[in-house]
Amino acid sequence: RGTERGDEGARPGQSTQCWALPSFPGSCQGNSVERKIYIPLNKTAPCVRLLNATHQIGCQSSISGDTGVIHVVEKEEDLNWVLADGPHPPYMILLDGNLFNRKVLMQLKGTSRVSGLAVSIAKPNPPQGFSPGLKCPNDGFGVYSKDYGPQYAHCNTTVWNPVGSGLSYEDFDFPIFLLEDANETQVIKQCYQDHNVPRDGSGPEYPLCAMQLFSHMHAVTSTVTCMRRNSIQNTFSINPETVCDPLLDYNVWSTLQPINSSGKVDREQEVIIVATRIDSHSFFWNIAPGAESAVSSFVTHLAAAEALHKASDVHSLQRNVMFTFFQGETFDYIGSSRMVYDMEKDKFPLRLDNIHSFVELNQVALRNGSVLWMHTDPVSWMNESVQTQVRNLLDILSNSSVGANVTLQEAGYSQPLPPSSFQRFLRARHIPGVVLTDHQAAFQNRYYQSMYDTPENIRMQYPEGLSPEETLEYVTDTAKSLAEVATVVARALYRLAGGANNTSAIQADPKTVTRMLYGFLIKMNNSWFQSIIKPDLKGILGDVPQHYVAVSSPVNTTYLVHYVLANLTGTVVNLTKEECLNPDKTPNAEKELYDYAWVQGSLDPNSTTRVPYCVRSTVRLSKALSPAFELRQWGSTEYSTWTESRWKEIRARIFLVASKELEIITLVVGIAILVFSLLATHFINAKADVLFSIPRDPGAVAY
Amino acid sequence: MGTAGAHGGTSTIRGTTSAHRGTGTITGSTGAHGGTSTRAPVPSRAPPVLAVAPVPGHQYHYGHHQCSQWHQYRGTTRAHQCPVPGTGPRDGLAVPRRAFFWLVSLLLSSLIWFIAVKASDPRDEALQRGLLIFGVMFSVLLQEAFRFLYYKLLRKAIEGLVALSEDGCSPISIQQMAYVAGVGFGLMSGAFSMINLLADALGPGTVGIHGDSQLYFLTSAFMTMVLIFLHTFWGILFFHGCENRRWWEIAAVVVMHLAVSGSTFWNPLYVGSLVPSYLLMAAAAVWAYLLSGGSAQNLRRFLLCKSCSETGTGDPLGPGDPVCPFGCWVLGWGKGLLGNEARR
Repeated sequence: RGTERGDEGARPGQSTQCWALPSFPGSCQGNSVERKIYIPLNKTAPCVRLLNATHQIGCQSSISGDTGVIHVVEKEEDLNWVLADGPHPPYMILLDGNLFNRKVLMQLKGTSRVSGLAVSIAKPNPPQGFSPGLKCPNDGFGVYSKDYGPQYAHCNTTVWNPVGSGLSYEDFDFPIFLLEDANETQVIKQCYQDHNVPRDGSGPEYPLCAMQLFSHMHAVTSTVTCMRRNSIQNTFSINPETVCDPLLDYNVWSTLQPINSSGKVDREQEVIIVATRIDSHSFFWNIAPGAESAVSSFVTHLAAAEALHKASDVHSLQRNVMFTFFQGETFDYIGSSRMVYDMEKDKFPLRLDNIHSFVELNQVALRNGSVLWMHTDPVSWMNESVQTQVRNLLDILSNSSVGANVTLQEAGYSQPLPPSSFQRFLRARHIPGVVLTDHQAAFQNRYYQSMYDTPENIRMQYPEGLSPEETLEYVTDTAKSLAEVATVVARALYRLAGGANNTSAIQADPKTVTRMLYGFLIKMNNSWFQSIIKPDLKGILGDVPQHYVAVSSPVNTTYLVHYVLANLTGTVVNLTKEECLNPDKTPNAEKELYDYAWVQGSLDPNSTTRVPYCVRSTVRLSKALSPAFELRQWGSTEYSTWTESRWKEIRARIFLVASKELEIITLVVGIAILVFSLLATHFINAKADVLFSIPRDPGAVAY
Repeated sequence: MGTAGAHGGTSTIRGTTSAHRGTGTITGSTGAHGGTSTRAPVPSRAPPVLAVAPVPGHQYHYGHHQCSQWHQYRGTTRAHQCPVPGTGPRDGLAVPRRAFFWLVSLLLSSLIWFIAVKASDPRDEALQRGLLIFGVMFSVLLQEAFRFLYYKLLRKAIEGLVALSEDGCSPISIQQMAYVAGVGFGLMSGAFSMINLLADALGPGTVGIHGDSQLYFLTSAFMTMVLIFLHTFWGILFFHGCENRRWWEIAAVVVMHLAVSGSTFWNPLYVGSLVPSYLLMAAAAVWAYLLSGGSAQNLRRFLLCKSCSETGTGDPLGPGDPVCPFGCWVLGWGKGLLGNEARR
């Protein structure tokens, strides 16, 4: 029946966010009467409230949950019943995924006849595309403004995400849940069929099938308001109750040649930054597959890092290379703006002046043919010296693709940069840089920042009937083509860093790429990830990966990128567990230069024990919290101000509602019996001497 | 727990949770007990424990049970009979104590039930149903055993009360005890079978999504009502049986209890459980009424407002009197109120 499931709710990220859902697993049980009344929906994802300097977005229910009679909407005509004809408002709509678009939602938003929305996933993905993100992502926080290339500001030249409906950035005053499990959707539809289908033009009879959604949000209005309330609570309350938390996490970075992480690099040292974002978003909380928008590029980036580390003369290269993975970029560049801020404030080993050039990978899996587009900043072209450097950068990249199955083409000087972390660096300095993407103008990705940005979107296909272990190792075409991109990037980086040798030995491994794609897109809890993480982290690996930045850090993605990068670029060192965990007590450990990780190793094929070992790498984490919160400028227009509201309870359930008549009958019968029994008691009490005396035989009662 | 648990046929957890809740009530009831037990009518100089030797100036009647076994509500010859106990504190003393005994039996039977369910295979439905039937029957027997234990305790308590009283009369009769004990027992079992229902009846949902009857709450309420009544009558029957060594009365109580609990296995065919239970209740009511001094004649006198018409001298009014019984009820009520006023 799809009702008796006990142990769900352990989605990735949930274990670390237990404050948010304290009663989620417990609510699956309940007593026997509750089980007779309610069917809990366990596989759901809510839309939650996020706030920025000026607005609140997302959804919420009332504090005791919103209830409504279910109506299934599969065609647009079905909406008439909800909006006008139905006799039992408010309605709780079970909306087909294909109708989950701006037009329908704006209609629903404007009426009081709707108490909430449950959305089923469309299968297959909607062919016309679906993106709840903005048409112009991260507008206003990139480099283009009225002072810098005003003709490019607000996507005037190129609309990057034309299918973007902006639904994620709307504020709904009713709850919206995603039904992740098709079986549960079927249970709801069955209940609707049995009880709610209108017959012969007249409304359905009671009892009716209804649904209740709980997602009450504590924060309101804006980040300015909720952070002020937080600080008032923290100042005056003994038991402060936070209402919202800034989105934060950690950036992951490492360098080709080790640098002193606690000191400062020389001013003369030149560093090439390679960057990608590692977070995504969708309309629903903790659903952010981001296959194309994040995973394709950071997996390519990781593969390129591995390939470059394998080159023989990396330690004698003239320039260093820094591999940087930014978190929170979806939300107005949290990670990159913080790193730039730290570099400017001398809180980072590198300075902005050390940056020789910048290469960013951004959505690279959906290439048309084999073309990879090189985007550059048209404003930088005006500057003579920068122009030469950019030209040099583009030439090296183009040359590196010779012989590879990737064609690099310039996207043109008349077009601005797509939304990218590089823009945050350009805001601070005229750094020569290039953004590599699979799109020349608008995104190839039709599912940008949506729940449909799944492995299927980047055409990952596996043959039928593979075991999980075989699937992990199976090399897909997507993996092969991403490995080619990684090879080109790694060779270009080698040349950029001053390497003179033949680059044909630098080759990204499609096997590694396919394992990473499997782990970051299909199943985090796989044997490879298990073998490369710390033993105490094995509990964090959930099944379905998602890459939302969240408010508790680090999230799984950050951890895993950290350990995958350490595994791919680090070396195994012969240290004991104690030495590995306390490198400052270990001679020759060079703790400033290296990071040591004690990983649990792979499972012995014939036993259940693992062989742990110590990995030395240059991987580091740096905080990705928007400088706006560091500076307490909650109304900042320069830095990201996104916060996530807190909540107590998120759950959904379906049940029958009785007619008012039955409720009134029950109440009246109860009151009548009560009154009758009071009267009866009174009279029996009053006449006890008559009722209980034995007048015929008074001798039996001895006075 | 037994009958209540059989209501839905799926009550597996409730027994234990009820038991936990029960402990809270136990402390509460013993607290109330402690508070009222100091009200024994003894002179302040002589503590109850030491009041064995006669104190000059006070007359003690030892061993003479000349007092009425019956509670005279409106006695007129107060000077020559045992003092009429106030109905409040001592009845209130017995109800929670009775409830406490019921709770202990609930605790024990839910413990057994919990162990049985945990030890058995939860997927074997036939076994689970068998266990449920066993649990219900066991719980019924346990409740009756505790009823007997309580009777034993009350006997001892009455002897103590008689020893303490000034005039050798127990302030509360065994019949009163039986009635109050039955009410306490019934209220507690009713409370425990209704609390969960009431909590869930708040809504927003109602029973039925799995195909159960819409009338679940209503039928459960009626079932609870019949059980409270039955426990009251059973209390009277049982104590009477113990007092007079009429074992068939005790056996009848146990059999009736088993029958009512067993009939709930007809659920969700509510007619199958409610109708027999109400029939049994009617029978038990008549029996208990007869045992506690009632008779058809008394009832007729009551219904035909024999006592409220002051002119009546034992001659029953004609059965076809158009004013009675309703008119006489209203009349009697009014007079009763006036009489009370006048007495004050």
